[in-house]
Amino acid sequence: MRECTYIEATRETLIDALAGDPRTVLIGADVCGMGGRYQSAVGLRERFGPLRVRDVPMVGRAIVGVAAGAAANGARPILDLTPIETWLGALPEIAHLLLIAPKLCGERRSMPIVLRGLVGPGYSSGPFQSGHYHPLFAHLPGLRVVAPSSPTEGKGMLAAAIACDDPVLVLEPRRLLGETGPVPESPFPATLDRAAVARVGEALTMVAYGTMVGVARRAVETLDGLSIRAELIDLRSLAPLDPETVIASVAKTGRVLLVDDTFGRCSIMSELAAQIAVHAIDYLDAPIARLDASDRPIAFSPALEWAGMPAERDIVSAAEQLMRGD
Amino acid sequence: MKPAKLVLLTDTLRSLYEQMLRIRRAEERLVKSFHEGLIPGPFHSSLGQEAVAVGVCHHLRADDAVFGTHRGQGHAIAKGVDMTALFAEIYGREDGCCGGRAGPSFFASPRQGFVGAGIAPGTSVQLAVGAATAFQTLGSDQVAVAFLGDGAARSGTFFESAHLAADWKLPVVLICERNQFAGRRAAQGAGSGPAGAAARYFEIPGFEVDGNDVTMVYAAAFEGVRHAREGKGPMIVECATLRWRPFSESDMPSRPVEAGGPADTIDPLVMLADRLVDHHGAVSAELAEWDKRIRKEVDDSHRAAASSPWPSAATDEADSGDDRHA
Repeated sequence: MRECTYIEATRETLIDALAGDPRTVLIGADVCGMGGRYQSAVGLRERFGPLRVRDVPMVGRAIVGVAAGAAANGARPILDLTPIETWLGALPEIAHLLLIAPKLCGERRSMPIVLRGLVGPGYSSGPFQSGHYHPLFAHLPGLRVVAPSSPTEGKGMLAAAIACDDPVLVLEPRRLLGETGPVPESPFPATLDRAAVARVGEALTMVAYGTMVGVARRAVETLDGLSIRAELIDLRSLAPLDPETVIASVAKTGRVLLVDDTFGRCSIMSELAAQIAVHAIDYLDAPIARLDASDRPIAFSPALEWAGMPAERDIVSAAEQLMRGD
Repeated sequence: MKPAKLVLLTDTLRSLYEQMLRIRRAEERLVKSFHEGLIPGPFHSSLGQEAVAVGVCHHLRADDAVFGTHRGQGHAIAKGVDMTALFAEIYGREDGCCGGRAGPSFFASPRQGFVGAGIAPGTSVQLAVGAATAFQTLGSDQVAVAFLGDGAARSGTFFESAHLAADWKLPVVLICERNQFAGRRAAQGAGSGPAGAAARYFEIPGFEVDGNDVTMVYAAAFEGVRHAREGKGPMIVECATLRWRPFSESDMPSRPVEAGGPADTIDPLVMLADRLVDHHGAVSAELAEWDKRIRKEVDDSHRAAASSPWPSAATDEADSGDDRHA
């Protein structure tokens, strides 16, 4: 299969969507001048025209409400307002206009909106543009939240999000933007709401999503050398969550390590831990183990940017500890 | 800027009067219903502002989209929402236009092109700008209209939305009902026209008119809707009027609804009745006859709504998304 970067795969999906459905509108910061943040929309304005590819002036909250109004009246907007911090100011619009309001009318309007948000550190984006915030959004009923972990997943999940009639927040890990991987050239909408077994193993179950999948994958390879065969699960969908896939694995291994680069309180992994405790506690041979981000702000300096996130060595030693049972 | 003077036909004036009277009697009934305990939660009356809703909606087609405020009863009636469904919604009953789930501040009835009320100051503007984005993208000649109050005209999202409307040259008409209050406070600088200031700032053409004179609102909205429908971009119309009732009826006003507006207030309904009698050959017996007919219509709606059943969880569509979150 040919290889391309996450950004190139994203651009292909946007082209497929704009060419395939005249209702699709790409709305984003700088999508015209510089081709979108990180160049995922280069040339699209020229190809599809100013009504289909719209540059937004300096607005924050209103654009989410505007997208809600557009989606309720027949358009299918894709909002590219990276980084994710942009969406924090629009929480009322997301909670009320995207999620609650369409459910109140007798005819229950669909709300086909894709929100693309960049998450996590990378390129020294600094403390105010490197956050994760996945749990804040995953808490809201009706919002689908997905976290691609590779260029292939990025292409497939974005295509599925665009085809979906519900609002979908695609959290694109900044660290993966320039990463290269094998990606099919033709459009392929991936499934949106299931986790995937990324590597089969028997000794323990390791669960991660987004950026942490790649880090965990390297840890799994190191653990192979220590004769610990870990099963790696990529959650993919954070809302809805897919505890069944995880529980099926835990039933087999009896041990689970949850790896997350967001703060640990009220997080995706705290919810998953609760699901495992509720539904699978009898399968467990050891307490649920967790690695989360530390509570400090994400630093600007490249020397410290990743300091608060679980690293490969942290995952390896947590896995060893889990196997020893101490 | 003032709109060009229009000569209104007698038939047009009669039809405007009938709609204003319908809103007046419905609002009076609803205020009474609140104090009789029939309306759960707060209720925001638009008594005194009838000319604005009627003068604007007269120019709209059924498939044009109207977004009202939390004082949206008049907007809804003027746009053709069924009065019984409206009353039942406000009483929290199953036969309401949103099955009693949304209530007086948030209801919608999209089939009649009343796409939503209230939610928060300024949301009507965001949603209307979004609807206009959809109409423009899909090549439709539909028009979106947002009603907004003094509070919304001072909100951040209003400026953001107006900016987008101007930047994208959208088919949207923003109707600022300057009723001199923002919430429970007198609107700061109410005489200076904040929406008009935004209009000038973003170079959106607009009018400032006497919102109690329905013929002035009619003339301004005629130009605004035509301007938008012809693809010339947004317009803003500021209508100076007065809110007769408190912010919410739950503020326990001392003035009974029969007393009408404050002593020195011009009653838009009386203004039009005088014009009909003085210049258009109407006689007071005829006006009294209309009043009798409309009172009966309002009474019938009230009774049907009050005897509508309470909604039950079994018909609760709003909950049907929950199973997605296992």
